[in-house]
Amino acid sequence: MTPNDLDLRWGLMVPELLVLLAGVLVLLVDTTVKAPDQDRRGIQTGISTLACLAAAGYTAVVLGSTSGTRTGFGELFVVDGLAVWFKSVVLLSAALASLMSERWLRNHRLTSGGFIALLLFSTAGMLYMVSAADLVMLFLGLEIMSIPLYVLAASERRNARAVEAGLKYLVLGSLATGFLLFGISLLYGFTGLMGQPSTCIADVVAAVLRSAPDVPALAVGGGILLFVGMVFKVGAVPFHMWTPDVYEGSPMSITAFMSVAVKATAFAAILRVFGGSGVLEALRLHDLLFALCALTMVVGNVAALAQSSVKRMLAWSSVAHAGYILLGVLAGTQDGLAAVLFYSLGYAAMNIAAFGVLVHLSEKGHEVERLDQLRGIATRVPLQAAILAVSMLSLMGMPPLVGFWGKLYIFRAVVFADFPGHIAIAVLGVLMSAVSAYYYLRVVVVSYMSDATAPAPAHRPSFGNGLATATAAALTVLIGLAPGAFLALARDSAESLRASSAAVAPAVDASTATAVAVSPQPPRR
Amino acid sequence: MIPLAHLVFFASVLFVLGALAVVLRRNVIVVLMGIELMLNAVNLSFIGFSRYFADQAGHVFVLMVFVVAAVEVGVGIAIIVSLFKLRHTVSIDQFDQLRN
Amino acid sequence: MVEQHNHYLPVLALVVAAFGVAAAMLGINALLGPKRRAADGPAVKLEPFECGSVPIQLDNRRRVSVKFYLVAILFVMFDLEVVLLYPWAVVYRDLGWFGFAELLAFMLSVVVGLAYAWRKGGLEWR
Repeated sequence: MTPNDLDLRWGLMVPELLVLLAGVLVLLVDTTVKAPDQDRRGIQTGISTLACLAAAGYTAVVLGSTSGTRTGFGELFVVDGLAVWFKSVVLLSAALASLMSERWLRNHRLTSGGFIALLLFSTAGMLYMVSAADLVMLFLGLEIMSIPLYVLAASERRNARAVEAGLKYLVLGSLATGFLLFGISLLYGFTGLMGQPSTCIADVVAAVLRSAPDVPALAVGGGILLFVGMVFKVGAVPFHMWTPDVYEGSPMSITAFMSVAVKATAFAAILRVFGGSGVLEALRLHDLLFALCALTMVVGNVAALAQSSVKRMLAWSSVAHAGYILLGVLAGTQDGLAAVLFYSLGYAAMNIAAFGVLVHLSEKGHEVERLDQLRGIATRVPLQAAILAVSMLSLMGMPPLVGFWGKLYIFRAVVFADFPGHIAIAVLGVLMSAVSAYYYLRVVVVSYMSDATAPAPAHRPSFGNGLATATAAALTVLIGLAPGAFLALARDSAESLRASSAAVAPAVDASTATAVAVSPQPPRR
Repeated sequence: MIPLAHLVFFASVLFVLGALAVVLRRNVIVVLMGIELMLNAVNLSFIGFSRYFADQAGHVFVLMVFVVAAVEVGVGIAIIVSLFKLRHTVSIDQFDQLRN
Repeated sequence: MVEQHNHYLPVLALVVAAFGVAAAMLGINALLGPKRRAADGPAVKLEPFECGSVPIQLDNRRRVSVKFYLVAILFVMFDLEVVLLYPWAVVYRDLGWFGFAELLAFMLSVVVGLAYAWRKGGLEWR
């Protein structure tokens, strides 16, 4: 094998390399630049934000300008509409999260080198996972994404709750990784039995579709395990146990980043493997996903009702939103997939805006977590209170905001989809959004209609966090005002998924049609 | 040659044992061992399939799993050590501060 | 298939023999040995057996210093990088200078990690 066979198209990998190099640079700044901590934090968050924005720009402008699917690096790496869309979402979230982190790091007097570098490495893992054309790449991306996040969750080393959150995330995350890997190994064995052992996603999907409707137990088991491993990262019930604890114990900016970017990445991976038409049905995953969706929406919303901590409420609400997004996967139609893409972007904007306000209000020792700490903030910090209200209304699904359009597209796709019970689950989703109005509106009511009880803590606003919050809020409103353009873009991006799976399936079909008929001949040695 | 079914069965049993250790054992260090056992079951299954079909992809996967497993345990031990410094215990039941 | 089973017969015999010897030893001991419960007997019966001499240290479990963990973690990381050299070693002739350059890039990234750990005092014994 020569370099030419490997098909090293470095141009496709520029965003990943930029982010990784920025991470290394941040580490080097930490060890070589002699400057006060304050300045170094500024330099490092600046490097991180600029690198993420540059990578996002490159992704959107250069990679997004040509449509179609491009693979490289020995069929491991793929750039298509799906990858471009989710990379943009992830990079945007990473840029906003690093802007938000500066304030938290300053409050806790932590040096930022490791923190920011881990954030960047995790982002790089997400980018690789989104672009995975092979299950090996998917697994590596998942781990490069997850392992830094375990450390980031526990980055407040002197706080037992934070370290506990990190440990819980690590143990349950590794368990999920185990499931995912075992699923992959079974699918690998299945492709081997079908005559062409491979871990390439397109080959696996083609093998599954070829053996439909009587897919052997090996493939069904492997598919379920792989699916469970991914759904865990999304935080869907019953694989959500870690979500509230980890989100509560982690630093605020990391909670925002996890709830948004990890979720988007996991959805990208789910779409990449199970998004092709007929895959869910062939692997008998459709009913399982149906049950998961219903459970996730109900449990997430009902549990969020009972929370007195805003951070924990947002954690449960992120479970509920995972349920809504999964509905789009369940619908499986072109509209459904486009709605998943749209919702991921919208959720990123509105959730980061909400967390940004909480970061703004928090001081060292005065983390704003409980609901009553928000009393009367409308008079104290009117702008931030307004942003919080906008994000809450958007999460609830109030009309001109992005959350409304996301839910509308999802529910519309489900209603027009064709599977038993589709009307029922759409109705359930709408009902549950109505339930969610209670806990979202409660935040707005508390911040606007009650007097402050505690004196406002001395305040030192952070430019970075302000910028991040304002950007996220602006996106929440602006995408809400022009949803059509973004939906069209999302539809185009989702198109590539169907196009690529359709292009691959018949090609493999023809070449290995004979191999299926003949029972596999294992080599004798 | 050992039949493929035996291999899959053995790997599955090992995997389930590891998962049970993660879920049931109360000592965090043993939980980490359970995770390692799960990953080793995965490795076994990959190597088995790889040999059976005379395909190299499984071998490569195993190398990747090795490295990732080591990194996971490295991070895990580091987190456990810092939690031990704070709480002076390694029992999962004692780590319950994150709950209302 | 029958011949194949015969291969395992010696193993089975070995297992049976091992269990038999162990059971016989314990059984004969239980039958013939003096029976005295530990609680009734002299305290020396509960002590670890140290070949006739008085045991030096009764509780032998000692906590290892946490410092070792840090070194162990770092060691495992840099130990495992070698695993990734194996595939390269198999095909290094075919890959030539390209593979060498790739490997250098990989090693460089590992060295940056090491340098960071070093500068941050991860290698200090304190």
